[in-house]
Amino acid sequence: MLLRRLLIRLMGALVVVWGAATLAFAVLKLVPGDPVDVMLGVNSTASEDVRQQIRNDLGLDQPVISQYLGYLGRLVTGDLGTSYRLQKPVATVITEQLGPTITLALASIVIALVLAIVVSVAARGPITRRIAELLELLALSSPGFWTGLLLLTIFSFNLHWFPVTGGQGARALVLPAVTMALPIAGILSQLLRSGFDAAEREPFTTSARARGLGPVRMFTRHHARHGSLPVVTLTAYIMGSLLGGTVIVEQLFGRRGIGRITLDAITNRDLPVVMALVVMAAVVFVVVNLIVDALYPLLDARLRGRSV
Amino acid sequence: MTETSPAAVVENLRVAFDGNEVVHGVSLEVRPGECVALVGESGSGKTLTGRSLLGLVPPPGVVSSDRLEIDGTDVRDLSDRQWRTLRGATVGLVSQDALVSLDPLRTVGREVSEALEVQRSRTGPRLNRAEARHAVASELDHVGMPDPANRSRQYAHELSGGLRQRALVAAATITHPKLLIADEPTTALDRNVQVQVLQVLRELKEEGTALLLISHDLAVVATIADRVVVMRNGELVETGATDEVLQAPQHDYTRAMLKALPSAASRGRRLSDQPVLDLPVAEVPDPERVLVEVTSVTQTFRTPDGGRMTAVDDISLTLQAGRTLGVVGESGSGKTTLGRVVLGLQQPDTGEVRLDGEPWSGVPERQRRPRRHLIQAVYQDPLSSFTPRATVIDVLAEALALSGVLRSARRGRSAQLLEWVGLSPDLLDRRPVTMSGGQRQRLAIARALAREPKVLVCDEPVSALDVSVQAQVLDVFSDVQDQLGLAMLFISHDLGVIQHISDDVMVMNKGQVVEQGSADQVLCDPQDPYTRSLLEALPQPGISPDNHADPVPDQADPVPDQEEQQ
Repeated sequence: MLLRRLLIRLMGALVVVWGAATLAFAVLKLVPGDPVDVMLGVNSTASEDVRQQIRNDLGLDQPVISQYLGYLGRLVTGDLGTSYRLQKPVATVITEQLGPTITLALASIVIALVLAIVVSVAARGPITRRIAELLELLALSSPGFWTGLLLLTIFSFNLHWFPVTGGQGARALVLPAVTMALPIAGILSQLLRSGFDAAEREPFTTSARARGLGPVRMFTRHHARHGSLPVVTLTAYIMGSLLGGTVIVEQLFGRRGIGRITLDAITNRDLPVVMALVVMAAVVFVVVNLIVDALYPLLDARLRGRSV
Repeated sequence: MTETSPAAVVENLRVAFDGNEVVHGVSLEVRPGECVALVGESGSGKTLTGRSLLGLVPPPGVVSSDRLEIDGTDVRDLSDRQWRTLRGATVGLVSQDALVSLDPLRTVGREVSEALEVQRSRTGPRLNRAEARHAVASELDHVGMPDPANRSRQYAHELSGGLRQRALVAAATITHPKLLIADEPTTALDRNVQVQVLQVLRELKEEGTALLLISHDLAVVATIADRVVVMRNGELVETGATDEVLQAPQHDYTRAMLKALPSAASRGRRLSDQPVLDLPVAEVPDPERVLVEVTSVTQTFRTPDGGRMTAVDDISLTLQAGRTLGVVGESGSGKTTLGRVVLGLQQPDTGEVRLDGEPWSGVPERQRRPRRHLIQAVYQDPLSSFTPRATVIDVLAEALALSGVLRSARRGRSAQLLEWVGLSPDLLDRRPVTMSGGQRQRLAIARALAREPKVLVCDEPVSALDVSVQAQVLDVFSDVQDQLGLAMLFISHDLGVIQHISDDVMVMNKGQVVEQGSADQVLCDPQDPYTRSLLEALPQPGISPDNHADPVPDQADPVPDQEEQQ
């Protein structure tokens, strides 16, 4: 029974990835202009024979359907094609940049979660609640490029605590991670607070209070878990979108990463890279979804033994 | 302190919210081994009175009193920290509906042990796991939970309603509190299960726990309470020994409340004081004419785990003009599905439904639609069947438009419909959300009548209403049926309501008909053991509660005497 459910889930996931791959392929075919021109650059003086040779090599002279099937076939074997511009396998291009992006995404999420938990727990009192609401709104509504510049001005240019751009170490990670974490912390903190508030209004809270529980026990034993349920879902989705790259922060802090190559690939019409990134984003979201689905029944017993 | 010093004393209790007083000077006393019932309709202040004894009146409520004592301790000026040492240890709470009153994310065992853990963390060495497990198992066993060790590892949603409620009782009694406040502890339960849970409470009482039972249900009260305190609009109306209050009520309100209770004895008499409604009708169907004929209908559903469950199993019935068929059964017995099949909202797997002589099941909806007006429905929660933004006139005009009433005539006709069901036409521009439960249900009836039906299917239409409002709405149903000659299918879990209103009765259990026949035959001379068990589970207020043989009746007697001596 469990196995069957798992299989159905996996099939669904594959269909989503296949759909994304097909869409990416369709976009490639719909984009006007000759990919060979793009590959060779505008100033190329290559003869028509050479161009024909390249088309042959890439299979561009074949009918669309066999190109599509060939593309899917290569995709299944993990071959994402070759970047027009960099003349390197797309897989290599992406994996080179994946490390910094994952590091940044994880660091941001961790910072955001810590901030959100601290703020939402501190906000149980009437006055701290007002302050928390204000901070959340501020964090949510400040655009990343502005927060980033502000942080750079204060901590890099004036205090010289952190490097201005580039760099590899942990110190170089702090400012970009905080910049990305702040708006996320704002959302998560709001969600946590409303979750705690909702649990507060539930009848089981009255029962527990009648058993002599004080506010601390009430929180650790009952409300913390209820409040964290929706946060699990949202955190996972945010994680997914961060792995897709964050152009502004990478650009601002001069970091390498998926956001950077996405921007490069789109501006240079490096279509194999763009296609691969689309497929990757789909895979990331599907995987995140599966993890959340697997996690939920562990947190909430009511979801155990339910059908898909 | 002597044996019989009261577990709770309340004198002149007042509760106010933002200067607006809602409990006006209530006094009561509960002694060990005694059950005092606090009875009243919604808004009577009975729950707030109970909460005052737990220090849990929600903010910004302000509690004041001349005396408020729990087990000899003056609790009027306790801080929340001091209250916490009393809660759980000295005074416990059992509330309604364990599904939401137990934390759904924690196991039953952890919920039950919680009060003991908290108490031990204050007074002694921490409760270790083995001790906790042992205490939980023995307390669950104490409240009659079968297989306590395994049950304690389950979650509230995995237990049946009765077992859940027992777990909730155990969660409050594991510390053996002197005073137990039970706030509508059996309200969401089927009658049979109610009786079992009441038995658990009765045993606790006999073991010496002081029980403050808060309930709207006089029938429940009659079986267990030694004394009754009747409340209305925050005021204490009447108080006295249970038998005296229920059999010789002094106050008009108590009398009206008792009179409003539907039962076998109330058949054919009006339950409320409202005047008989006047519904001028042109044409009444021939009496006894068969309007709905259901033949061997079976309805199954796919269950989440891939199996099939039979909700309605080979059921046949007829509905006749001017007669009411009462369908009674516990939750999950298939009553609602049967109603949906009769309404033509559910296509039965096998069997046939005929409406007014023509096929009703098995025909395309397009053919059914022109005849839908013949059969109308009234549900338990009318509010959710009204568009939230609609006003009363919108609700009625929509139904009238379907019946082809011209736009210009709809307002006048709507006003007339409201008068039919005993509502003022002034309500036409109100929104149902701003109306009371009884008004909403009358509006739902008016809407059904707007289509000029011959058949009315009513699914638990009075189950969410207070007794006095229920009485009025039941009277509306009776008047409407008498004067319009409608056939009614009346579905209810409440045997008293069914006894009051039905001409014929059908008892359902697990999708099958257990017994079917005229009301007198089925209810006065039940042949099936299941029907008999239902009838036995039905407490009869106004009749001595002795049919529930109280093993120690002597205990109740000395208590009032000592009260007078003080």
